[in-house]
Amino acid sequence: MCCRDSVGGSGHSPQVAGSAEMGPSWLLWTVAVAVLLLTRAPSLEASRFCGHLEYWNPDKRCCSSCLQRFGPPACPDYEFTENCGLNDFGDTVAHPFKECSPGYCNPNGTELCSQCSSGAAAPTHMESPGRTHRQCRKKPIPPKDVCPLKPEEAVVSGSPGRWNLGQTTKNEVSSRPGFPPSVLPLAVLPLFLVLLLILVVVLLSVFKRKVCSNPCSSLAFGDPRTSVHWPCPGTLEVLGSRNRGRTSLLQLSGWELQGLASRPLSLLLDELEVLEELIMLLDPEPGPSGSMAYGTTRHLAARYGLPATWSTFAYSLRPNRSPLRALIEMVVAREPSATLGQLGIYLAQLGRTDALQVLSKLG
Amino acid sequence: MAPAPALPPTVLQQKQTMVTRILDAGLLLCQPAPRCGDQMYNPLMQCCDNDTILPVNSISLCGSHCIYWPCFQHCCLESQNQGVIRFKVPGMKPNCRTSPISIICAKLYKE
Repeated sequence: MCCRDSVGGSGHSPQVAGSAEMGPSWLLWTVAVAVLLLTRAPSLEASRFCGHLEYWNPDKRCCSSCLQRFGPPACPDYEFTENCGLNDFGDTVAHPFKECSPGYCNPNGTELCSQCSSGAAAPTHMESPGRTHRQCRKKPIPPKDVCPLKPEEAVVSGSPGRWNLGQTTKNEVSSRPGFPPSVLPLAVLPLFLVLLLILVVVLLSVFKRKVCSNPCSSLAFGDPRTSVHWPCPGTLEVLGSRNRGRTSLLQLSGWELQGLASRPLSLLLDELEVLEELIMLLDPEPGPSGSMAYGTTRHLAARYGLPATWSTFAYSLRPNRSPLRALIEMVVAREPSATLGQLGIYLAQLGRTDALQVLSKLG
Repeated sequence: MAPAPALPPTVLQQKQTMVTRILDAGLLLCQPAPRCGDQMYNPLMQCCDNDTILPVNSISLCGSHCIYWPCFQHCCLESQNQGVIRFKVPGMKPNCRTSPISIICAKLYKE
């Protein structure tokens, strides 16, 4: 019985989606992937260890309930597939739900369909001997999810088989259930800009006082990017006074006047030219190990509260996927109210005035 | 002649060791260990996926040949033959409708 693999390495294959480079060698990765694909050919056969409404957890070596993992079928007249689409290796080989067989219905969202006329349950799957391994720890059943199908699709389904959840669009992020709408009324927007400006002025005055008695004041005599670890009070002011021709704090304040600061971060995903320039500035990690540079997407992700392991994973997706683009999509998905102003502040804190200049093009 | 037993560390050596340890801020930063079900795990080396502790670099299959990282992505089968791997957003339950798309897999298998 093969368990879930733990592999590190890199690989590029047009047939295998994505290229992950998290381990020591590309060769090891390629071999591991080949072994994985050869030995774990996906199968729609029933589990050797668990019943129809359960799936085998190879890590815990026990049978878990499909209902406890996925919740009841969200759409009417749908039921669980065999082992909710998971094989004994933990791979997803089919959708967890499927349409009821002809003549069978499931209006109440139970685990299995029943005859529409009499309500009798569908013929149960014959459980083979040995498919009664120990049960995993019970968990509470998740609430019923919202059916992604339109009402006319849910009632009269066209093609047999699985339902089509459709492609996710950016617009769906703002309409996600469970998250409150975050659109500021127009009347509050000017007040928000004024408050933001006042906050910046207060922070600047605090930084000015601390610079006088802080070792970081030596920045006035050195390159702010190379000598001292960030954050260093007063660096914003130093950058503003020392960097000729670069975006200064005045430009950052100018954003607020233009209203850029309050615009949603998702706007950046639509402005591909600006995004590409930022990717070229922030994604690269120069240096012998590639991780000693400062002010890259990796550090920006840390500012947004993402763990270092996520940054390492995001960088392993290069060159197919930009870590910066992934970061912005993640932030927008988690917090639709995230603004360009917040990104600008983080970039300024990281000392990336070059990226700030690019970002100001959105204005 | 038997070798002389090792001398206990002097007070000065003990103080130097303490200073070294105090300056190592990582040892002083205590945080509650995250839990996965009824077990604790190391978030730098492991993750929690469906109440199961997995190594950070573990991989799994989505469909027939689409590989993904369960710690950071989740598999969504959005149509009969199309698999989509989406990012897991920290702090949010995996959602096949709203999570950002990471990889769109080729057709899973021919019917």
